[in-house]
Amino acid sequence: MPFCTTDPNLRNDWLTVGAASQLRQVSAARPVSARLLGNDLLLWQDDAGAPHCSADGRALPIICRYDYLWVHTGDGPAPALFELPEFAQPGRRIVDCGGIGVATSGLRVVENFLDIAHFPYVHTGTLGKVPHTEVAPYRAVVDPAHGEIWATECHFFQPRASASAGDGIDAHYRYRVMQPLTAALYKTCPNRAGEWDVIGLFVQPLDQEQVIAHVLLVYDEDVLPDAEMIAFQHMIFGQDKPILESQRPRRLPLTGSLEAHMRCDLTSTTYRRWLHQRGVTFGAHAQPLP
Amino acid sequence: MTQPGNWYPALPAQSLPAAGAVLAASVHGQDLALWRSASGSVQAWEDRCPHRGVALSLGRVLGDRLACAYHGWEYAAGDGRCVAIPAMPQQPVPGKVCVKTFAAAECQGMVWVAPGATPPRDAPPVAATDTAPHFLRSMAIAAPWATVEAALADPLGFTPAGPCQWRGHWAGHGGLLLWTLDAAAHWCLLHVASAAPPPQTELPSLFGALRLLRERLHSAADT
Repeated sequence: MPFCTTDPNLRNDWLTVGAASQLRQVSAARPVSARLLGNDLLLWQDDAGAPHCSADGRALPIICRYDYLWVHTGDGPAPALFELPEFAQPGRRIVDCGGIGVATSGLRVVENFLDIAHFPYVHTGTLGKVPHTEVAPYRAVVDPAHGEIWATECHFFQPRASASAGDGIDAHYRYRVMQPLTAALYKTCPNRAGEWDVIGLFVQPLDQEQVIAHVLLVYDEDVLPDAEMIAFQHMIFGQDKPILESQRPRRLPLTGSLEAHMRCDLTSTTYRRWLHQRGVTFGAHAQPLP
Repeated sequence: MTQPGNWYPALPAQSLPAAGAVLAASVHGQDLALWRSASGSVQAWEDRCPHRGVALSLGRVLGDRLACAYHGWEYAAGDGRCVAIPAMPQQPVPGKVCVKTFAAAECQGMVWVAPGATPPRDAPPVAATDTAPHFLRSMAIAAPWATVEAALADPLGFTPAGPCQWRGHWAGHGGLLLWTLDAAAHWCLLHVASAAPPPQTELPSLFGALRLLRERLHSAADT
């Protein structure tokens, strides 16, 4: 079965097929399957613990980084995967929250991850609360060195910024988009001033309108058991899911006036322009819609 | 499939509560958010927020405004214009941000919507009755709308009483009024009323007859 897109942004980049932990005790004799870009892949690990991947009887490059598996489906040379130096920082707590299926374009999922204005309405009582709805001006730029988007100086009142947060805080955020379908957010650590908790969002595109959103926590926090931190993220993503699945069109409009933009949407408009300039068509409407 | 300027019966008016609720409906291919303003007038809006495309039927009614569930943007009853953007409370709302709205009317106990691009010139083409019909039930029919419309006339013997409206008798029960609604490709809705409230003792046989009617419509679709 061929892959369902020729979009070079996806075919020439590393795409995740989920956590590396799924290959524990998976040998070549009994591989596991994973879906990516409309195709079925087989995954296993060899005796030395190295991951392997095949599709249509052909071996594909696969690497394990940040506890996740990344596959390259293109014919050309694979680029370097993005850097996430916090992952290897001593004292960091790494918690894989698993994947959540979402029936929409992965670009919609990433755009939602980059948005703070929805906190009071969708994550009421945790990440936001009416009447604290105002989004103060922030910056969003494309870093010329790496071609990544960085949104900085974002801050927002949060009644309960994380599973272990006690009182409300004015949480500070920085967002980073590494690839069209991978992003990270850096947020104020409620328990340790000056440190940033990192949340990685790695979207696995099953096809143009179905994805698995994987969430990896790279936290300084060491108070709560894993299960509570995972449950908090599942609650947050469970609140986003019905909103995301109701969006029409499912594919992200990159140009045109179908959707209105305000200054508070700067990250979203920067992301859409960045996708458009890269020529992304997968999961997108590249041409204006009526 | 929508005819310009045509009215379609969307749902019984009693199913749309007085205030606070937003219902999702699909009327002849158009997804709608239906709600009532503070004065009770029915609003039929495209089920899509012009900001990020989220279904407005997930939203919340605030008096004469409907607020989107995603970012709380508020839209005014009547023209659907955006009147508040809570993320930017100090800024004036741009005049061009507007939900697409459709003509809606309440007539003979039904909510009627004209989902076409052209607003209708006339009132909904309801059949004349002496009294307001007594609503009985709505049924989902697992058959395309056109098939159901054809079968109601022949072989089931109902008489056309206007677009998407039928009257007649069935299995010994007279004075029935039927509305059909094209809800999706493979099924449609049938709303049923009677001219007068039926006596309590007749209800079991009447509702049994309506289930039989649904079976007949299903068989008509199979043949």
